[in-house]
Amino acid sequence: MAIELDLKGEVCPYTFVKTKLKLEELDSGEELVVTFDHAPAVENVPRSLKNEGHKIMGIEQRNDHLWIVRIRKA
Amino acid sequence: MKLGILLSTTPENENTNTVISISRAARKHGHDVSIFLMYDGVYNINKKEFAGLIEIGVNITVCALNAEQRKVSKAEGILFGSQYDHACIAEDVDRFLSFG
Repeated sequence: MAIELDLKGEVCPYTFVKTKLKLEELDSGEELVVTFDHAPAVENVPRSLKNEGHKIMGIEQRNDHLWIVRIRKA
Repeated sequence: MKLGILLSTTPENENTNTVISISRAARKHGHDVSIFLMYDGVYNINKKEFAGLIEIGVNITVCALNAEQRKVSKAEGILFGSQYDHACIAEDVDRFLSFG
């Protein structure tokens, strides 16, 4: 079961910081589903997490201002 | 040597010409240069001489949030990144200069 994190209303750098802090609570292989409404974050957070070794399972755009990013912890 | 530069002032500030000159000199001597732009520094990508640094191999990263706030549009060869990229540059380089 994936853990959910709602980061609507958050902007950089908190989008990355809060995602990373949540990931630290998970076990390796667990999945985190994060909701963003800040366009720059949707490009930068996945790229930064990949750089840290985590796997981006999917990025889904729900509407003009809502994105769902699914991450598997390394 | 790897040189990192943070620039957070507008192109009208003399910092811009200083950063351009330091970057050109460093590249001439074969050093790697990575620049991070934030706050009003993001406007520097609209200055021809500054954007021209890409052609001599300077890596330029812009804070995407500050660029969005200032309606600075994306430009070829410039990464619209975040404070994560800023931290990676600061960690990776041998010397780091901050112009603010």
